[in-house]
This record gives sequence, structure tokens and C-alpha cells, in this order.
Amino acid sequence: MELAGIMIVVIATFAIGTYGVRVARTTSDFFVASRQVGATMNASAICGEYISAASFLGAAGLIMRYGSGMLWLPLAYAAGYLFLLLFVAAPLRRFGAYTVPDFAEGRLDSLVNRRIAMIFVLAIGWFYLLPQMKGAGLTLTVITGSPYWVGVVVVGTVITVNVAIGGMRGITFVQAFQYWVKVVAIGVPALIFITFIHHPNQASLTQPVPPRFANETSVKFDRSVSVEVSEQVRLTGTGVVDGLPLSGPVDLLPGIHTIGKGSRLTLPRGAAVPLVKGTSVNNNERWALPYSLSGNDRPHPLYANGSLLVAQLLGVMGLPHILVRFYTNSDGHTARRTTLFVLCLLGLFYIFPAVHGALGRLYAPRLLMTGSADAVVLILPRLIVGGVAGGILAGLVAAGAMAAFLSTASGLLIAVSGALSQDLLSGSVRDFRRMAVVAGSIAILFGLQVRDIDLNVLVGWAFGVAASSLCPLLVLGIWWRGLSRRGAAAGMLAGGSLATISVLLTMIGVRPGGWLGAILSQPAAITAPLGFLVMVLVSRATTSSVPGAVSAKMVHLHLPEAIGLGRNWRD
Amino acid sequence: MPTRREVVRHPRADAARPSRQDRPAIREMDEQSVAGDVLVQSLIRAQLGLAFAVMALFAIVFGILGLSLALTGGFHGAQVFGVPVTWILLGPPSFAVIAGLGWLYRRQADRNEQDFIDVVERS
Repeated sequence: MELAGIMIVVIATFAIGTYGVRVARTTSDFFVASRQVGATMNASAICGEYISAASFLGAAGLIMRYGSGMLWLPLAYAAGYLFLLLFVAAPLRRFGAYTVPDFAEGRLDSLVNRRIAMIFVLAIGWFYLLPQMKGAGLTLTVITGSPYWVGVVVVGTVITVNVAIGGMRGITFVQAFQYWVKVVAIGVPALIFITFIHHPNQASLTQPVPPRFANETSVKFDRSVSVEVSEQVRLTGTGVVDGLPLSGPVDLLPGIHTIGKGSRLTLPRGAAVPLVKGTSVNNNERWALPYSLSGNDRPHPLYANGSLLVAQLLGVMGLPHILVRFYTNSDGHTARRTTLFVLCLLGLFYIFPAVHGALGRLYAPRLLMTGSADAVVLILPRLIVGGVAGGILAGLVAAGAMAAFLSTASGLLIAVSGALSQDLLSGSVRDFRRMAVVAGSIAILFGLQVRDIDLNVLVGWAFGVAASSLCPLLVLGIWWRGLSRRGAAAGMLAGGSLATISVLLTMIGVRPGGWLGAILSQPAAITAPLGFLVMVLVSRATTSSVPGAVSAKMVHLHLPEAIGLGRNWRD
Repeated sequence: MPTRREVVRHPRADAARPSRQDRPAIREMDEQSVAGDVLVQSLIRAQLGLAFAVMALFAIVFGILGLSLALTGGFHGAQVFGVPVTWILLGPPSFAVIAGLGWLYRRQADRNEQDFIDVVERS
């Protein structure tokens, strides 16, 4: 059933993509859909592109583990668009540049700034592709039991081929379609669960007790984990516990225990769930009520959470695959209307992950023991509903998850290969296709390496780099006449490269403790303000490199089209 | 509140209309004269002020919500139909507030632009 759901989404994606490419006639059609897309369609497409594996799967997983403190996460994913509406949407559309590098060049008359912006488009795009690849690998593992790499390679190939043959016109229809697939796939099961299902232990979710297994539960470990046992528990099964092979029942005393890869353990009904060390809140009351961020191995969790929120609020403005969509609006006025629709559509989607997260804690506590809470949305339907109906819901959810990686990864791949083909090659459709294949292959290779990193941590990195590099460039470029070439370059490099370096260090496993570790693993709260600050200070010091004709550029950015002076920056 | 007349224009059609380019204010802006600059700057300032005002509203609403939830432990664990108030408040009402702020901004930003067009047309 799940496989059927996935296949339907893939086939529909290909079909709409191919139909779209037959409609497209010119290169400009191919890249920006010739700005002929209506606001409703465009808003659906923006949401389709935006709601990624981290939102579809990861948000529910985080809420399941940490509880109410994580309810801010979906809110911030939506609120980022409010900031985009306030500071970027209409002026950017009026300026008429296709991409962020175009904006950098057009606003600053500087090829150097264009190149720097392009480097960050590539960095953000690739960081953001990683969680999509991980989501794909995880989903296929949960559904078919296939190894992680199969999902990454299969989904990565589907996306790459579709982007290479479809281009943007096809993608606009595909993305709009996929938004609705995702809303239905997360909303319908959630509504069914809360309407018809009553769990006997429901009340325990707000009481000061640990999560417990409602039934005798067999848990399979496909990697080795350290778990924290809070109450003595008797295990049976096969495998390795604390380095010793299991032979017959064993009693685990409270404390830390390691469970070997490949173990299959059975825990009795009513047992307190041993949680993966330091990754979840162990007390349901603390989980349900605000700021249950303790019980968590990240240093300074409040900073980490706050920094992620900063990244989300500011990062949306700098996401290259989202920005390119704003050029498909017909004018600045429509760009605002589209963004407002986006806020509504995102609100509709993001109210649902909390339902899955909360029910996951009741029905699927074993995920807290194996450390794969990101899979909660996928496995709930069969656990809660069961039978044929459960199978159909599971198929629906799998289709939604597939839509999530397909759409976000396609958008990213277009942004990345667009930047590569226009800046390194001649910018023809052929180059675009070639670059799509290159960029897609690299994403698959790196996607294989990030299996053990939380989806939302991965996404937080992409948002953090965007918030620290392209966001200051866009906001200051749009609103401040005093921005100089050197200022813009220095700001992007300071904020963006510090954010990138922190992310890379964390990725290769440099994770010091204390404040340094907290900042390295979630740098945006420091690097985004730094990007703005450096941009302003250096601009002030280098007024000689303020580009000429700033007034004309401000006219292009801000004057309503009705006045009749708005021109494309290339004119 | 007095009803506003909605003026529906297609940008291209307007651009093609020759008479508008003759408006002195539009010529000033096109030529980036000092007077034209002042005019453009007034629009930018109005829009930026509006953006900061809405951002401040956002910060105030969610700052108060976050602080009151944190300080009272989610209003002392109060529940409605068995669901903690925290989970309800951070759900649909918060998304509605965000969309509402967006709506407020869009209405006001469009008004600023219409006022600007009116000023220019009268010149």
C-alpha cells in the first residue's frame, strides 16, 4: 500500500512534468514559467516546494521527543514568510532579477558580489538537499526494509531526471499538486485519529510519569544505541546488551545501557520506555508543558532552540529555491497577495504535525528507544487504525512523504543547477540539464553520509547559512541606499562563511561542549546579526564603492508598476 | 470607514499610456532629480516603517505568549477537553495571528502605494 502511494506520486510527478515541458516553448518559459502563473497556483507551488521532509516527518518527530517546546518550530517555519512578505516579496519581484546572484549583480553592478552570492546559493542548496535525501532513505527503510542507501539513490535519481527533463514550467504544476498531496496526507490521518481513536492511557500524557509500552512490544535495532533505563525492566529476545550476547531474560537496572546493532528485544506491557540517551524528555508532564528542553544532550538547549528560530525566521528570505518562485508573480502587488496565501496554506499544514507527535508518544514509544522518531508519521496509521483502512492511510502518508522530498529537492536542484549553468556555462537549457545531473549526483553522494543526523538539524543548517548570507544582502540591498559593494561582499562572507564553517565542523563530528559547541551546532543567532553588522560597518567605511545610480535602482525596487517606471534591471 | 474606489490596472497597459509619463512628478522620478528622489524616498520610508511596525507587533504578541506560557508553566497545566492550553494556543490561533499580521501588512502596504500614486497623479 505504501509502495503504491509512492508510485502514484512519482508517476503523477513525471506525467505533469512532461506535460508541462510540452507547453513550454522558450528558454524563459522553461526557467521562470514566463511569469504567467496565477497567485493561487503560485502560492500552492511555493508551499509545495517549501514543505520538506523536515516539516512532513521531522516536526512530528521532534514534538514526540521534546513536547511543547517544539511547537514553536512549525510556527517559525510559517512566520519566516511573514518576514519575507514584510521585507522582500514585492520589491524583489519589481526589481525583476531571476535569481539572487542576478539581484546581487543588478543592485550592486558587481560581478564579484554575483559570484559570492552564487557560492552561497550552492552551499544553501546542497545543505538543504541533504535532509531530503535522508528523509527519502528513511522512508523507504521504514516501508520496505530496504537499506538506507537504496532510498537515497532511488529518490535522488527520480528527482534529478525529472528536473533535467521538466524544467520550471513543469515544476510549477508539480509543486502545486504536491502541496495538496502533503496537506491531505498529513491532515486526513490526523483528523481521523483525533475523531475516532481513544487510547486508554491518553490522560498519562500530561502526568508526571515516563512514557510506557501499552502492550508487550518487540523492538528491532538496526543500529547500536545507548539507552537510559529509568525503571528496572525485564528484557527477552536476541542480540547484544551491554556487550554481552543475550541468552534468556535479563533484568536491566536503572542507568545507561548499550544495545548492539541487529538486536531484537521484547519489552513487557507497561514497562517504562528506555529512551535513547539524552535525546528525549522522560517525564510526560514536563513534555506536555512549556520549556521541556532539559533531558537533552545539547549544550545550552534554550540557546540552541532560539538560534534555530532565528534561522527559520530570517532564513526563508535567503532560500534560493523559494526566491526564484517570486519571479513567477506578474507584479509586486501579486507577489504580496501570493505571500499572504502562502501564510494561510502553511498554517493549514503546520497545525497537524503536533497531532502525530503527541499520538506517537502514546502509540509508538519504541521509536524513542531506537532513536528514529523521525519515522513516527509513517508508522502511526498501521499502529492506530490497522487492517485495510490502516494500510490505505499508510499509503497516503507515504505518498505525502514522497511528495515532500520530491518537491523540495526538485526546487533546490533547479536553483543549484540554474546558478551553475548560468554562471559557469552559457546558460542554455542543455547546460542546465547537464548541471542538474552533476548537482543531483553530488547530493546523492553526500546524502548517504547524514543518516544519523536529525532532519531538523540538517534543515536548520541550510536556514542558518541563508539567514547569515543572502538575507542581509537582500534586506539591506532593498532598503538601504548606502550599501556598498565591499560592504555587501564582506557581510556575506563574514556571516555566511562562519555559518558554513560551523556547519561543516559539526557535520564532520567536531562537537565541543559548552557555549562553543552550542554556537557551532546552531550558529544563526550569532552569524546572522554579524552578517548585517559587517555589511553596515564596512559599507559606512567604503562609501566610495557604493554603486552609481542608486536612485534609479530604488525606483525599480519600490515604485508600483502602475506608475510605469518599473523596468527590468537589465534594461 | 469611507469606501475606497478600487482602481484596477494592468501594469503594461499603464506603461503604454503616453500621458502618464508627462506628469511632472513621474518625470522627476525618472530623471532622478532631487525632487523625484525625495518623493521615492518618502514611499520607501513609509513602507519600511510599516514593515517594522508589523514586525514589532509580531514580537510583542509572541513575546507575551511565550513569556506567559513559560512563567506560568502553561497556565498551571490548564486543559480544555483534555488538551493542555499550551498545545491549543501554539496551534491554530497562533497561525491565524501570523496570517492576520500578513493581511494587515498587505492592506496597509497597498494603501501606501495607492496614496503615492494619487499624489503623483495630482502633480
